[in-house]
Amino acid sequence: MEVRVSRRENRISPLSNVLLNTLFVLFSLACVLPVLLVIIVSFTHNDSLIDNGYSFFPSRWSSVAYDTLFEDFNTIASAYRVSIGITVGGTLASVLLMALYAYPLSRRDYPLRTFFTFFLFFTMLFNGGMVSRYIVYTQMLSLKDSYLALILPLLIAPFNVIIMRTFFQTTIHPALIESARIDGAGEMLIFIRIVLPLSLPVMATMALFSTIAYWNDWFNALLYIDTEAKYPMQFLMMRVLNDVQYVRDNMSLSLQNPELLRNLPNESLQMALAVIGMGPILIVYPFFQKYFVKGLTVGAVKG
Amino acid sequence: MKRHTTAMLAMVIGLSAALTACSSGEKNANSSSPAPSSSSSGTAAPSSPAASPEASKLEPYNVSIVYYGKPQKDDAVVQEELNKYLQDKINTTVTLQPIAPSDYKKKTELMMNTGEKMDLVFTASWLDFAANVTKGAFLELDSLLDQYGQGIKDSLSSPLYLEAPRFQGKLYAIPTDKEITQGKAFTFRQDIVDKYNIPIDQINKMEDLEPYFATIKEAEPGMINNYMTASPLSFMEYETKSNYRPIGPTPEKMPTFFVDYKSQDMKVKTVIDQDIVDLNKADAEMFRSYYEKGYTNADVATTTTNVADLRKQGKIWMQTTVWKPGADIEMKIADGYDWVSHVVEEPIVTTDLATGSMLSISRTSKNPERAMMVLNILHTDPYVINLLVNGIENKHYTKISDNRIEPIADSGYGDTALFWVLGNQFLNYLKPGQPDDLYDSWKQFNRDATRFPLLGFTFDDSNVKDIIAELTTIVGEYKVIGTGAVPNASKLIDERNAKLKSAGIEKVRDELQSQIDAWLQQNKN
Amino acid sequence: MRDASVSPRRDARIGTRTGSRKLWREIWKSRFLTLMILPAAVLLVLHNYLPMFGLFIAFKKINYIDGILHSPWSGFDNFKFLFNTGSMWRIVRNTVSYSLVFMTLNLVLSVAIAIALSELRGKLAAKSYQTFFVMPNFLSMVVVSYLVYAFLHPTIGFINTSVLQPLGHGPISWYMDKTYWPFILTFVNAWKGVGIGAVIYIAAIAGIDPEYYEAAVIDGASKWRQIIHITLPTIRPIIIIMTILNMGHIFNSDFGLFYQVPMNSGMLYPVTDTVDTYVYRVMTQLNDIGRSSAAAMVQSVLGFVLVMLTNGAVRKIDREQALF
Repeated sequence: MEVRVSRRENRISPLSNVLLNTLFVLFSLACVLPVLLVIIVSFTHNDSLIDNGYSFFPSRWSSVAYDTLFEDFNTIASAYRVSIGITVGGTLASVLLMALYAYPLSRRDYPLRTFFTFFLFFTMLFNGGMVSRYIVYTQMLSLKDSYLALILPLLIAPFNVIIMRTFFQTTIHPALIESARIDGAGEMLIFIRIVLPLSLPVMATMALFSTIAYWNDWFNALLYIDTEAKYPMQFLMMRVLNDVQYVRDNMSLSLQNPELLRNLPNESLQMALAVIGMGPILIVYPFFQKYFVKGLTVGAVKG
Repeated sequence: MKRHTTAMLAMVIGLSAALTACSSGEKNANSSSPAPSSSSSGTAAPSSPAASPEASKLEPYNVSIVYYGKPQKDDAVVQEELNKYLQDKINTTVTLQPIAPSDYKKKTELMMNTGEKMDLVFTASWLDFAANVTKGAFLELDSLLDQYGQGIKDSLSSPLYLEAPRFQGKLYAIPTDKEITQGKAFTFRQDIVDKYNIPIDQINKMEDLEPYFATIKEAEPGMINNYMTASPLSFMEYETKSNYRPIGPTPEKMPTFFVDYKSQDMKVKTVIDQDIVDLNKADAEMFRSYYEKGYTNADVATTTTNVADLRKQGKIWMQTTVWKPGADIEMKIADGYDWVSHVVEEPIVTTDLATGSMLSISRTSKNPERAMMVLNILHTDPYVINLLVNGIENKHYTKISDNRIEPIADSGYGDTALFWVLGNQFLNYLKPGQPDDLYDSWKQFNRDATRFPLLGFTFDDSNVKDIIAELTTIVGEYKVIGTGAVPNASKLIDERNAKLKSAGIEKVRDELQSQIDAWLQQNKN
Repeated sequence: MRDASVSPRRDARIGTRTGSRKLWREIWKSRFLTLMILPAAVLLVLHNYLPMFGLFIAFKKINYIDGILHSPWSGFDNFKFLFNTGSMWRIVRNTVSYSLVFMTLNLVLSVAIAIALSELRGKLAAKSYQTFFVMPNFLSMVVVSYLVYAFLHPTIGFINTSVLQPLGHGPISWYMDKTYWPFILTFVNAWKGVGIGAVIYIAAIAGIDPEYYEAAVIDGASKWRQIIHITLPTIRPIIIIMTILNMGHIFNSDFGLFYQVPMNSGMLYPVTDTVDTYVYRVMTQLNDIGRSSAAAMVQSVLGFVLVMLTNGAVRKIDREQALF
């Protein structure tokens, strides 16, 4: 309660508030209008697109893009299920594992700290490439056509782990840990009772990043998934976009094989796919957002 | 009709065709033996073992078929149906592995790099067939073909087919039997031709169109006279104005090296040779004037609009096309207008075109003999090939006559155009709109096509890869000059050519020349 | 203020160097921490270290018969194409300068947005803004390239028809004129990236104990001074670590941004061609995994060196802020 009172007094001046708001409204428009345009284009008739290009006020509307998409409702529903499952499961596991790795690295008294930091950092810059990873995944781990092949690759994001470590380092005072230890708490207990609650904002941030990464991932599905029923949403979407791009990059090829051009989705369909792919992420975003509110966590722990 | 002809033809040919005959007939019970290399295939490799056991004696084996096509919902259903049939016949099952076009190259090369088991693999000149052969992706097929592929040899509609997919004289793939090459044509909308009395037979090059562009721009302001995209050349340029035809590497898909296909000596020229430069400049200047006069679409440098959509809207009255018999009708099926073509280039069979769609046997196949048997069936058995291409009767299509079908919309199979990908297209049922004599005219077309003197030659770029990499960047940078969208095209061509020269285009030419000379030497007799 | 938190246990760490026995004792003592690290470390081994044999590809002439492991070695042959090219200078210059500009600009804008958002009076407004700002991040580059095209289309683009025409200015052929593209690309990159980039800093600011600000108010510190003396120092470690990590990718570029957004227009190559677009174009031509691996290896090694140098510099100034 006290906190709120003092914050109300500690506010920026009304003038700067207006100025900032104006800037933000402008930038918001810059961000929202294109998304709106994408939605409008997804409802625009193809003839209108060819004649006038993209427009906020198209001369002819059409829902044919969505009709086409939902004609095959089962496929989309199943792809959604896969995507949601992978994203939720992957994100939970990912945040937990990354936090477990990041926390010891943030402890200055941990002797293997430099080793494990380097161990992690090295993978950020060097990797064996797609071919060798494919060999490991399919021949050594036998993950072909398994959901694990979609989860495993994104579990540990070195960049995010290091950011997390830095957060722990700055927000968690060593004295806090020291005193807990004196009280007889084990490392695991300290992690769960002190570190995690104090780090909700960064956990939420990392969860958000993981969610985005899992939701948007299509490449691993391309490599490892063979069964249509296991395709995630984003893969279906990218396949369509890639096909269009492919035909455009290979005009001479499609001249030889006009069949490639047949049934080529037009731009409204591509935009409809973008809308369908983007929608869920925008819906869950506010859920993460509530953890970013200033001062919330510290007060919670202390109270 | 067609089916019967094929069947009868096959029977006459002899023992080796027994398989063909049975399968194209109504699945006769006496399942046959693939030809032991006797009478008809007397030329077969003598060392090859003549083991061709009965179907029942064959061990069960699963042949995976990796091909270029969007996966379809009923792939599994079709596969099961195929397996029922193939198991009876040669105790074989197949696994269908369609890969979407945009992923195909990446994914198959990954599979090759990792040594994954594959049996039949779709490949083509434009999928780097030659490079993959050099790296050892595919098995050599000559003796396998002799032993187990007699049906293929007998049914291929042109002998040139087996000349093309060769590397150092050895065969590495079997082309899909379809139109073996393409001519180039100006294609016009019939109603416009009639309305403005365009003498299409006299239009032999882009220049000849100018007066009609002028008329139609005036009279039909909604039309785009010359719809182009930013490709690095107008593809009629060499065909309509010279005997030069591209050979060797094409950085950013620009023909860069040429031979005069009517000459004896096969001297390689490049885009920096004076007569080619002159052609390029004249062409670029002409397109510049078309652009300035508003005949060409203003967004030519970046347009992404599918020309078929524009045709549907009635905005196109003239198009440069690749042509084969029935091409006009294909366009009509797509957009509803009547089209008429004037073919301006005699069809030439080049290595690239004849190898435009093929199946090869992967080095990782555990049973190449069986793979060849399946391939043989794909070339000879109308039931199998139609099942693969069109799906199951009454589920995915209905038959309206002996060799003509009506696809069932949204049935879960048959949407993807597989007919040019697999086996023998002449066995495919005809679809609505296709004329009855389509396949006959294709066969005629294949018979009449001229053999390119370097058919079967493929360039091995391993010694000049780095130079080609550099040429690619330079060509890409200047690819818009051919469209007329930039001023001073001639100056830019000179600029580009100077860069190409210093990047070492002549070294690539010399390498190409020496490979051609060696090839000619080898293939003289 | 935060500097007070510098570890009292720092000397303990130095102490470990006095003898390996002591080190082992330390390691044993901290075994629970190691246990926490282990699951992710195993994953790193599986996902990252096992496939490292792929690094050899850069030094081999790969053929399918021998496979990756047994194909013959080719020394540095695969690297030559990168250094033979006349475009070398151009692609390196473009890649590095865009990376540096993007890094700096996005950092400044993200931090500014994060701070300003956290200072806004209306919390609902702040939340809505924040939602809007991350939206561009969810559009794929292909879609972004269509949107940019809608603005810059030569005949029907918004800019040419709705901005330039009313101003009496003739249309501009955007995709043929390279002058504008450094700005366009920088703008698109910032537009797409700063919103999501700000999230990290927003989270960092959210973690600041409000007591610090309360104390500052009591001391009579202005809002501006609070930002300078409390907010910025708190997020400084994050800024530093982000910078160090980003140095590793200075020789890499966002392929979609540089390939899709300019529609791969050749006239723009002088300002849009980067290492990644160059390698992509060359590889679609050459189909040579050895060469693409070599390019990636060069990018990694240079990035690695840069990170080490930056890290070393940071260490000199403030040991605690360094990566290791």
